[in-house]
Amino acid sequence: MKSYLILNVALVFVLSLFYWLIIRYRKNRPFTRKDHTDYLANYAGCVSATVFCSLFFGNNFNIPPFQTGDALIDILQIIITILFVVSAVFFIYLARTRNSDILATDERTELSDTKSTRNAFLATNVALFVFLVGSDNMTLSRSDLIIILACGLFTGLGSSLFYYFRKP
Amino acid sequence: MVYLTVLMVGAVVILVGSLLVSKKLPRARYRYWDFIALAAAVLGVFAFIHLLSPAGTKPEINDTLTKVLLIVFPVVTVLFLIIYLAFFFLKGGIHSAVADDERTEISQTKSARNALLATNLALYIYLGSSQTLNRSALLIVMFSGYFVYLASALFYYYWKVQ
Repeated sequence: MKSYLILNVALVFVLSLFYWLIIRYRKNRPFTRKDHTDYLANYAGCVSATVFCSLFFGNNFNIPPFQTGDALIDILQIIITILFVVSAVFFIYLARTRNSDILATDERTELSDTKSTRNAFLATNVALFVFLVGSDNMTLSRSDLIIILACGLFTGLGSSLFYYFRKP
Repeated sequence: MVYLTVLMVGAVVILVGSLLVSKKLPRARYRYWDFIALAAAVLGVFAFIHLLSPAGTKPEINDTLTKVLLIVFPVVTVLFLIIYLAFFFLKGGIHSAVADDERTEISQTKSARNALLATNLALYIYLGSSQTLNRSALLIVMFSGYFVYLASALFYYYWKVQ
């Protein structure tokens, strides 16, 4: 348990340092920084998605994906995997076709990232509060955590779509 | 549960009421407050206090971490308040002359973003070894978010938002 914690702390530290170096590098070179992206918001989203996937798809690689024994979870796993692949292909296609109308960013993009993360924080805290009030032993099980994180993730995604097309 | 529900309803009423008043009075001081970020922070604090609270049917405080956090939580809160007041009287803050502006809203939004990042990183650290979160782990996860929120709010308030 403790070795896992230490390893994870080290991993988070290295990842954060790496991410911070990328941000600094780009900020120090203004001519290469053509996009306006809230890197911290995206980092928070990536970490949240990683935690969600680790909860959803298996336990420390002991449980292989798609073999949980629960039909609903298996179907959801397949749907999420397909969605992820389709999204990746879509964004690669957009990047290759250089559709500047869709991929162009400005200050509003950064603001929409920040606001989406804020809304995800609110949704996560609301779900957490509801679960804790209803819990007797103050422990969150795997399914509780999946629901709480899913609330935040869906709110974040919905908000980013809303702000992206409605503009903040 | 009753007192928490009352607290939650009270907080929501206060926030919605403030929002409505601020819409009616465009020159009100809290016109530029980010109420969603504040509501997220308030709910997070409620959940944290609910975890810490020994009242009702909740578990007894028998672990060291909860005892430590029972001391650290108010100390950190008071400490941040003292730092805020000290800076306010010494430096004046960014809003002393012109009252709140768009930067206030951005600073609160960014504080909420940073708190979510800290919470997620703490979750990531804990969930690497377990798929459930017990009370102690949850307290640390939530406290990290709370601490980062306060620190970010202070940072953005005095060092300005770009």
